[in-house]
Amino acid sequence: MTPAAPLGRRTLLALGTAPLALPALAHPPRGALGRILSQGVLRAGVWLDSPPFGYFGPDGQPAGMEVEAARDIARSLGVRLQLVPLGFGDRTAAVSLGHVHLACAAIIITPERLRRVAFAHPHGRLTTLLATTGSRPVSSLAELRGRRVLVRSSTIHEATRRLPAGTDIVVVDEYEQGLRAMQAGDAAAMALPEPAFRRLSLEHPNALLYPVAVLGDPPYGVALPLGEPDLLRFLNTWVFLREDDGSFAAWHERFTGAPRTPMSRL
Amino acid sequence: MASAHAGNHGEALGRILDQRRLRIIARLDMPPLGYRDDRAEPAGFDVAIGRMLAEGLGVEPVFVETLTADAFTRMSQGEGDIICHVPLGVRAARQALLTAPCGRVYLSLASPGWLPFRRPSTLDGHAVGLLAGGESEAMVSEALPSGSRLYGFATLSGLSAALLAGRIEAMVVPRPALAPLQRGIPQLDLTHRFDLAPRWISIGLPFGEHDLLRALNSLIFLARTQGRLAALSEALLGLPQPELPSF
Repeated sequence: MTPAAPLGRRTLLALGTAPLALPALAHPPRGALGRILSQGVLRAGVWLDSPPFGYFGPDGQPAGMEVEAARDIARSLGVRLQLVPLGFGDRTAAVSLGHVHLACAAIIITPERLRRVAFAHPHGRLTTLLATTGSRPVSSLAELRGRRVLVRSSTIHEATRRLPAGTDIVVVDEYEQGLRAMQAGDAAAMALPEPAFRRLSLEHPNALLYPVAVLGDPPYGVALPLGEPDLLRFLNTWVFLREDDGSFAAWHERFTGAPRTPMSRL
Repeated sequence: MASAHAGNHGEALGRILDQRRLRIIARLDMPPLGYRDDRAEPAGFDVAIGRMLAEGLGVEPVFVETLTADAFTRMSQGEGDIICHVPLGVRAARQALLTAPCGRVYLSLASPGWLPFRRPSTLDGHAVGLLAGGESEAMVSEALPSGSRLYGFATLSGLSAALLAGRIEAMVVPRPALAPLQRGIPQLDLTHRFDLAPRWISIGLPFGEHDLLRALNSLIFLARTQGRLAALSEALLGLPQPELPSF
């Protein structure tokens, strides 16, 4: 018996990465998954003002954990990727209005958002810390009553959930702005994501930034439109596989320099 | 009451229950995973999983024999309701809905006794055969050096014949399938060299059939928590079953 011609690297690779040509099937995927596969392109919303989740790298190209996730989803689907930058406040609306097929934008899963979009199984947690500077005018949350705490709009949800009533919450545009305000004595503390805390600590060692408490550790996931069960199942399968093969951990280590706590697999 | 035509989305579970049969697409040429016993009846681990799911649905199992490369096509053309033994991977996930895992199997490389390939790197420049179709091709391609020549075969008998004839120098097969091969071609002194990677094994079903997916996932969950999956793995594959994740 003559064996088949060598499969060869190119053929094998093409099977894994080339756009899938759907045969005339009795059960092709419907909805968004069907359109993505038949059109050969995935429109993925990303938030590029949120290192290490999404930002512009030194080469001017989008980079970050969530950008990497979007790239991998497109690779897994065997389609081209079209990244669509989204503002913080636009992320779920872009999904529910169909401007993007899905969003990889560190969107925290909340009951309110679940009424508007669906989420794949979470693939990360967004730890929000309350931090103060070296003079440490604050050592517990209870001491914040009547005092000023700085937040960015992205952390305001977690901040307002845990801070005591009577805390003066002020929104700042940048964490550096908040750090300067704390050093000047204009604020007692600031709520910020753990990656931002680590970055500020490294870039401003003299500020002696110190964590007071964990304000929240909510999960985030890929957001997709409601009513897309085939796409949802594909994404849940993808999350399972990438958790299992260590991809999420590798991306976390690459973009934050720190190890990642595995997500529960139920 | 007869169900609607098989081609309509979301009606597979109703049709299966109405017709009182579950059509299961499976390989039957790879003992102990799937094969025909002395009475020519389907047997093996994959067959046992299929029978268990049919029992859970309260219907009769009907096995549709196939080759790996044909399985998705045959299901999409309505020849079967589910596919047994689908390695979990993104390529499979864009061809069908996949259940939570019901088992795990390693892909292993084996070679004749006089060709001791002890590590993947030693296969550079050598011919390796594997069963075509499915996630295995991509997995093997990533695991072996780019200089190795990979040949795909539709059947296990074709793969064995090529190894006997010296047209390939090693083969990649699921680990449980190795022992029957060793007994079948003793003149080769077929020897296990190393494992490539573990594969979670799931059930494949057509897109749009989410009621059926939920039913199968529930049955797999029950079988897992009741110890039935572990017992099947031990009895039919000779393998202890790892903790099975769910999603």
